[in-house]
Amino acid sequence: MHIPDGFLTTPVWASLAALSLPSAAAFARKAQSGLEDGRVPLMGVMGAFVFAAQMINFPVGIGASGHLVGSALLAATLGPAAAAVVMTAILVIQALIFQDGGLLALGANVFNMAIAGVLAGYWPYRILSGTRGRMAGLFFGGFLSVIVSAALCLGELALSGVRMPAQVLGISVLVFSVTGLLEGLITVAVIGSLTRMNPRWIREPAGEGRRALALLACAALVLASTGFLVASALPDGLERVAGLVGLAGHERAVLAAPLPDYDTLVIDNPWLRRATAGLLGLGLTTLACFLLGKWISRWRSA
Amino acid sequence: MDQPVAQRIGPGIFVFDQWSRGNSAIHRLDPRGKVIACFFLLILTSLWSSAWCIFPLAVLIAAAARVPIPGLARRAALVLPFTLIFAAVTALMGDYPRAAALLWRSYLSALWVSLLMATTPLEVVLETAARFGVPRLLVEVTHFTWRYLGVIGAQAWRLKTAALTRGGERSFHISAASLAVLFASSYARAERIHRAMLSRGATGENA
Repeated sequence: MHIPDGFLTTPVWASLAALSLPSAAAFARKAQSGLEDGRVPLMGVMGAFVFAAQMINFPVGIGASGHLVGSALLAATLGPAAAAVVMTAILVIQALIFQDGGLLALGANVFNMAIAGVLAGYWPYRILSGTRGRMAGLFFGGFLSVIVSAALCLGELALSGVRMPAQVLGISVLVFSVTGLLEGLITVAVIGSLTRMNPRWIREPAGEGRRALALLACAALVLASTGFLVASALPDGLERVAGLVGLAGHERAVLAAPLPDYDTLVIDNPWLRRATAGLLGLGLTTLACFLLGKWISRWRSA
Repeated sequence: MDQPVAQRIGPGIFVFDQWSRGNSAIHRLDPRGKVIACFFLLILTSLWSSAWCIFPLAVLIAAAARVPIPGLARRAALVLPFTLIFAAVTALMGDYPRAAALLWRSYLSALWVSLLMATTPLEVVLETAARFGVPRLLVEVTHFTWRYLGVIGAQAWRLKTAALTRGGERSFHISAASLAVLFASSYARAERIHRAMLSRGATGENA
């Protein structure tokens, strides 16, 4: 699901670009600080590997087949920061050479697939690594990376006014669930083979104490993206949320100020008020968890 | 199976490499100017509700750069399968103006990006991005990914062919093993590349 240009309204793509650019830079710094000898060629070649892996089909009976997406596999082998950088590089090449995803929409695509997708692929593995459920963590990671990316993508499109009737949305959710299941299975199967070949290739996440944090962050990410998708299935509600936060849904209102009837809107709509508050709360919780984690890790290393 | 290896990754993926080595006035322009112009045209296309009237400009630029126009139009058309699905759904919901806007907007935007890539080599575009502040690591990884895309792609194709001669991609298990083999050889290749770089005196802090 690479969003091309011309789908997202200016506020949507601009705010996602404003979000992705510093995040990608932070991931690049993080990947760079943990950089061992020869990591840049490795990351580049792994990017090419993920591209090439699409050629190898995985049969799933009755003539259907799927292929690897790769976020969870990369996160488990390179670590999340390097995986995010590699996925971003892949998205850049897809946008420039393959016309798969737009250049203005690159920020949105990076956010959906390279940032949220990689984190959703990594956190379940992070939570369950070191326990007997390690493979289950990899499976959920593969599954979630696809689901979260797709939910965010559909939500962003709906926020930009590209809506789908509920039935079509239902079908696409079903399709994405199957893709996600397949991604989980492929990730587990490939990591299983790799472990037999050379266990050194699989990274065991370091720092055991932050498991609860990862669980919280993962839950927040999943809740936020599914909430986003559910909201997009309720067009009226979403349109008002869009108006409320200044993301007007129509072209002519692209640069319009937030709606004047802001107050009445909030008061008249208890559901909306709760939904907005919920989303805001989730965002703040995630931020708080992140800061807390930073603080704890600094406190521990001090 | 009758297509060349590189075509299996994506049709005509090296065509930009060929076009961008041209020698027209457009090719010789400062890449920073071209990147900024591309973004300007993209934003114009996304904001202006009758931006379709600048279609002739794309044709004009392509002609000035002596880039084959039908080929360029085909490259930009790669965006259409995705757009057509959404345009069809939007049209079925009765929102015809939006469906039409999705179609011409995404196509015209793809045309601008294709024009940039047809007149500026990828490595120049990436260097320009680095000069505009894109993290160096990301730029380098993108370089490497593009450089080894054909190499690893060819290897994947050989693995696939080998699997087909053994009776086809019949089981999930075999495909997973193939992918693991591809991973292992990519890993080993990356190590060889790194050693080769060091032996040639690469000193980049990132290398």
